[in-house]
Amino acid sequence: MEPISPGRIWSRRAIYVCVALVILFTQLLPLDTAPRGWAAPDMLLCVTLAWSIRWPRYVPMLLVAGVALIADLLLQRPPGLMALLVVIASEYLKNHATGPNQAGLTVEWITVSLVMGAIFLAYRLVLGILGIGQAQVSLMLTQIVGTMLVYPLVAVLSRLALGAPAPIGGDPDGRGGRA
Amino acid sequence: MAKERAQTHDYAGPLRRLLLIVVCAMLLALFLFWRIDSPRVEQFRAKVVDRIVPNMDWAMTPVTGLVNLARDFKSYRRLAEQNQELRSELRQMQAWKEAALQLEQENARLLDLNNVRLDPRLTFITGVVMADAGSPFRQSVLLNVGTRDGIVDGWATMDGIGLVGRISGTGRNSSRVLLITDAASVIPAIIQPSGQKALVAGDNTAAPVIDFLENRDLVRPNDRVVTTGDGKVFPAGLLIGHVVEDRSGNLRVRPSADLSRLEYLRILRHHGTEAITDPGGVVAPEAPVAPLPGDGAETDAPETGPQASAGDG
Repeated sequence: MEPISPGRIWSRRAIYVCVALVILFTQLLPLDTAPRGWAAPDMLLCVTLAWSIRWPRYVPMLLVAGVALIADLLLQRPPGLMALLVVIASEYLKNHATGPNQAGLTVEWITVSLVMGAIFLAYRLVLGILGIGQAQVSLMLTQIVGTMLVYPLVAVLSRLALGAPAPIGGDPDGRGGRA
Repeated sequence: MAKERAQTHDYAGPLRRLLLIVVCAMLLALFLFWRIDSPRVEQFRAKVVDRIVPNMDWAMTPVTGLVNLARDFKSYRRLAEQNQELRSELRQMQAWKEAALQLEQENARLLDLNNVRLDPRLTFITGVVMADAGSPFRQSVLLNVGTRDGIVDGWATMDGIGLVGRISGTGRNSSRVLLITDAASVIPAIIQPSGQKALVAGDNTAAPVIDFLENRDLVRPNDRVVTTGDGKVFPAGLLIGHVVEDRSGNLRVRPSADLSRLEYLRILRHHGTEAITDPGGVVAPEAPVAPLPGDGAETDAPETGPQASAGDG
């Protein structure tokens, strides 16, 4: 299982970029421009974290950083902050978390949910400290919870699309250095 | 292949860590730079958006159209009751139309009597909505007109009836409209007929809050809220919406513009309101004094000069 051909890796990386662009595209569609009381799940974060934990080699750090930064710029967020948090979270999951091979989906789900919670908390905290106006707590809470709930679906769908995850023990880079 | 992998294995740990630190530091630096010098980074953002989003337009327009079509199709199922509703609304509308026609005639007569000339410099450019903010926490839309078409930051944007927002960020082919519902939007307004001044501040809900009201008791639900020319950003007298009272008793504005489906927007060209600077000289019969822009009535109150001139427009 270990030797994944470079062509396969690069095609998967291209797929990641395409998925990210499609998600951004659908978010930018001017379908409903009135403010709502709830917020849709952050699919891009969900996909990034799912792929980081399951197929770490398909989402290299630079790619994640680039995609997250573009998302920050396009979605009118403070540029760089969310990207920074996503990169840190993704690297953390790649190196430390127990993947689906070592534990079941439930443990993976709980881990990812905790990481998402940490991201949102850190995001609000930094914005609060620097005195940047931010959205209502209720709106952000619906987004966090929605993102957490939608994670298993995203994980299963990506598994159907990408095939079985590569075993983490066979992942040649990354683990030794961090642990 | 095998050799390469072995080598990357040796270097991988420290190199990757270094790279991670560098990337994180750069992102953090960008964020802090944005916090310190927001306009420059926002300009950069506008440029990035200007490069990316117009390229998506060929796909966005049909997809948006299709989804809207599907939504409209869904509403066919309620056709009968909708018809009923429309009929009753139509009856009400006819009554209103009658009233409006009478008022229009009366207005025309009065304007004629007063010899009023409406501001000929207030013309507009029409733009099509390309994309929205993409995030539930920001309320803005992207238009397909930009500096190429002479759009300038700060100009007011309306749909057919009411104020929608103002231009905030322009690229060559695109410009962003900050909607009045966005948390960053604050607009000086005057409430008719009581003439109370207030600020209309968006807070990410469908109805912006009325803030800094002088005297609350004079304002009733359903009063009209229009812009004042204060702050010299907007022309005066643009309709924002009507006053409503929410459940906790706060006054809010229900926007007259249909913010749920923005398609075509008008951007009003605005060249600034003229301020009256000098108090006005003595009006003597024979001396060839340069004529003032207004007449004598405005020179009576020099301390409210700029506001008075704004209120005229």
